[in-house]
Amino acid sequence: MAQKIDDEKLMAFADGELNDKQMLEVENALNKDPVLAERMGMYLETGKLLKEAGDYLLETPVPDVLRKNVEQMLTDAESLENAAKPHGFRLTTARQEESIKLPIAANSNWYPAIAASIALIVGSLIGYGVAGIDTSSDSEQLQIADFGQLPITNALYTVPSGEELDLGENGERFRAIASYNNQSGALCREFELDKADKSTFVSVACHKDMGWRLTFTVAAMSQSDDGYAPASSLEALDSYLDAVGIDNALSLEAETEALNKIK
Amino acid sequence: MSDFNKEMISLLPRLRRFAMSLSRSPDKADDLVQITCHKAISAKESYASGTRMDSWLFRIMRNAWIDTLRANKAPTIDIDNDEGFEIVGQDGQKTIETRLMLTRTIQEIEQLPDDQREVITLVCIEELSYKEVSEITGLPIGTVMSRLSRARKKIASELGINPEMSRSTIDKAE
Repeated sequence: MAQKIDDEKLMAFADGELNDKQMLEVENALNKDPVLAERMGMYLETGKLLKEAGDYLLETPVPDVLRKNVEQMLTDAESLENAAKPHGFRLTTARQEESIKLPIAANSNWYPAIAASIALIVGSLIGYGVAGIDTSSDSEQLQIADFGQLPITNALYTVPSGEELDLGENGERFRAIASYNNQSGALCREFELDKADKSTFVSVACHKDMGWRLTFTVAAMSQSDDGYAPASSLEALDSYLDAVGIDNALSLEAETEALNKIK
Repeated sequence: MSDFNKEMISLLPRLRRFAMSLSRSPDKADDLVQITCHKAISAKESYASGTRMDSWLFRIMRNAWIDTLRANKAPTIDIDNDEGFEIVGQDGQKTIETRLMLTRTIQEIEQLPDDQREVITLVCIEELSYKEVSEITGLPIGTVMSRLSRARKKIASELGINPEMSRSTIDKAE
C-alpha cells in the first residue's frame, strides 16, 4: 500500500518540485482519491493566484529617481574600473567612497542604521584584481596605518601645493602637488609620498567629516625596478580625477582659504 | 552598457517588488533597492556571471534588510509607518472582480507573519525553487516548505479557496 501523501508533498507536486518518480506516485494517488485531488487543488489555485498578484504588483512603475540613482551608481563604478586599468604601473588600492555615492534621503528616519552599513561598504579597501596587478606586497602598499599617522595629516592641513616637507620618520617626504574641489564641494589634495625604500605614492585625499580620507593612491615604481616609467602613474591619476569629476586645480589663494576653513 | 549593468536595471521592478514585501513602505523599499544595488556593485567580483543575478540580489537585499532591522532593534515593522503595497496596475483589461481578488490577495500576503510572507513571496511570486529559497534564506528546505504550506492554507482560508480543504490534518511538524 502506498504511503499516505502528506500536504507538503501535494504542494511540491503543485509547484513542480518533485522528480519524475515522485510525480508519478502522486498522480496515481490523485487519480484514486478525489479528496486528495482537492487538497492538491488548493495549492495549485493559491500558487496561480499568488503569481497573478505578483504580476499585478510588477506593473507598479519603478520611480524615476530610483532608476536614475542606480544607473548613476553603475556608471560611477564603471568609471572607476576604467581608471584602474593598467597604465604600466602598479595600482595598489583605492576607496570608492567618493566615486560611488549612495543616494539615501538624508531625512530618512532609518538613515542612521543605513549609515552604519554604508560605512562597512565604503570603509573596505578594494584591491583591483586586474590581471598583472600585484596587490600582495605589503611594502608596496600605502598602508592606511601610515596614512592615519599625524605627520601626513598635519602636512595635508599645512603644506601649500608646490612645497614639500620632511616627515622626519623613516626618511619620508611629503610633497603637495595641487588642490581641487570634488563634486560634493569637499577639498581634495593631490600629493606624493616618498618613502625610505625609494617607492613613491601619488595620492589624493579628500577632507570630510573633520578628517582626511584617502581616496586614491597609486604606487609609482622606479625605473630600475620593473621598467615602468613613473610618469605613467599620473595617467591613472588623471583618469581617476576625470572619473570622479574633480575640476581644475585651485589657485594658491583659493587653496589657502580652503585650508584655513577646515583647520 | 555592460551585461551586468543591463541585467541589474532590468531587475529593478522585481527588486522593488521584493523590497516592498520586506519593508511594506514605498520609501523604505526604494532605499532598500538602492542599498542592495550599491552592495552588489561593490561586490561585483563575487558575482559569477552566467548564474542567476536575481537570486544573488535577493539574498543581498534580504541580508541588508535584516541588518537594518537589527540596527533599529525593531523586531517587527512599526505598524503606524506601514504604508502597504502600492497597487498601481495597468488595469485596462482586468475586470473589477479580478482586481478586487488580486487586491485582497495582496492584502492577505501583507498580513502574513514575516517568515511566511518571505517564503511565499520568493516561491510563489518570485518563482524561485524551494532549493533556491533555502539558499537565499539559509533555512532548511523542510522549513521553507512547512512555512509555505501554512501560508498558503491561511490565504486559501481567508479568500475562500477550497474552504474544507484548507483546514489541514496532515501537516508535518516543523
